[in-house]
Amino acid sequence: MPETLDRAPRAFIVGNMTGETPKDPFTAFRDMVTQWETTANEWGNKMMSTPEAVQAMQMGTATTLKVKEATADTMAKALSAANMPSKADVEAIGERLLAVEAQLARIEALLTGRADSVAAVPVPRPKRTKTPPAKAVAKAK
Amino acid sequence: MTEQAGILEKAQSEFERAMQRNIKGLGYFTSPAPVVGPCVKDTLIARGTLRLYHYRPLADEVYRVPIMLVMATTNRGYIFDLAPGQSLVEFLLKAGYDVFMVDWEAPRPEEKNLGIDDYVLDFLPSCAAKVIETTGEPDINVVGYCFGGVLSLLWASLHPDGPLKSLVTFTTPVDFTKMELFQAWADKRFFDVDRLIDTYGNAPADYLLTVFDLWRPAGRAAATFRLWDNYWNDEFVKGYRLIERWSNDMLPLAGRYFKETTEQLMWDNALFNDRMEVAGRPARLSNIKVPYMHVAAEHDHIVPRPASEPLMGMIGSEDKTELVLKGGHVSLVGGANAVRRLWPQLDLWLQERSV
Repeated sequence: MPETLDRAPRAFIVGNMTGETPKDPFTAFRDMVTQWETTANEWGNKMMSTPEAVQAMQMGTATTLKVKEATADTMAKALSAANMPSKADVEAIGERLLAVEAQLARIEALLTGRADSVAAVPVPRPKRTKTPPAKAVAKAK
Repeated sequence: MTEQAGILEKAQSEFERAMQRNIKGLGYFTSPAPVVGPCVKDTLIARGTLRLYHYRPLADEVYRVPIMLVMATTNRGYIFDLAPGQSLVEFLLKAGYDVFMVDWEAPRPEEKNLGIDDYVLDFLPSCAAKVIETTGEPDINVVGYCFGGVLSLLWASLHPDGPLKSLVTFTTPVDFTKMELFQAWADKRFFDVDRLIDTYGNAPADYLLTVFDLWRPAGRAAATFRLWDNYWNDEFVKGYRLIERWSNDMLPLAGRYFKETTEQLMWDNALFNDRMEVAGRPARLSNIKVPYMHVAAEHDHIVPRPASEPLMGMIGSEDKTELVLKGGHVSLVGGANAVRRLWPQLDLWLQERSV
């Protein structure tokens, strides 16, 4: 067992043996979890920083990507055979819709004089005359 | 006898907590997600991934210069407006600021071609122009968080003639070689960013969340234990749910933007090496001459201190300040400690630069 993992229970036991006020077991367990978290994070960071671990992780990502590419390709062919739009086709329509939305926003701006605004209730306009409290100004100087 | 009584008392207290855990634990799983973003706001721009919000004032008199918060592109802006009493936006509104926020929605698949140039030369200038139009004031103060800070720095460096009056960045990296864990993960020898983007279009949010989680492998298990341990404590549970909801609510990144940040910043460290270009225009931090403040977090595991440390030397401003506060990447800006540590300092710095 790593040293950090058994530190808390041992402190509890040692406390009893030496006559010191013992830590209650619940607090000791909470401390132990905190120490475990620190140790595990440190160990994980060290491991993840090694080229071997990064290479393994990126190989896993590359494999996932290959599978996804192959699936997308197969799906596109199947959809094409069924005379259905593929994801790329839908995205192309999305891009055209985006352009239409932008054009609509410009028209709306011309009509209302308030570009892109969806505010329904008038915004209160307080006076823009506030000055810093004297103390802050003196401190800043 | 006294010791025995103490043990009995402790055991009783733990038993009561255990009961509360069972009762409230059931409530946890059956109750809806906490409501976030309580401050009333108007949407001034809603264009694809971009949002610009204007918060309704909470003071009768405000400072002349408005504040534009710029959120990181990986997460949602409600970290600045979590809940009443835990909201930087609410704090600023009550302190007399006119607050706007640049926030992001998940980029749509057809927005995969958005790049750094779109964010720096289109989105931020459009938002700044809208703030100026709305307030009628010629200048603005900008506060950028994490990568929102990087975008703000790039924008400021390319627009030295205004309308920026002062700039604040929180936990903003400049030397990307010092983000050691991200460097390891994005190792050029193994990471095929082109393939990722060609396959997915945009960098998926769950992929990014996994990368962030890798640096704290025990984090989730320990957090779950602490949640269970504190089920009896309503305040703890509320805070946990708010932060947990936010940190899991990651956004995908536009494909070209992700590729450019990986290649230019992670691999080439272009911003630090003064080689950064946005649409062919050199972005030099020495061009930034407005008053500047950077706030770093002592225990930031995402942007470690050495990654932001060179900022002070690189910024061209004469009036520049750096604060290093206790806390982590998230707890610096949101949560109970931010209320005491960061927010009052931010207010103090902004006051005289907002008139």
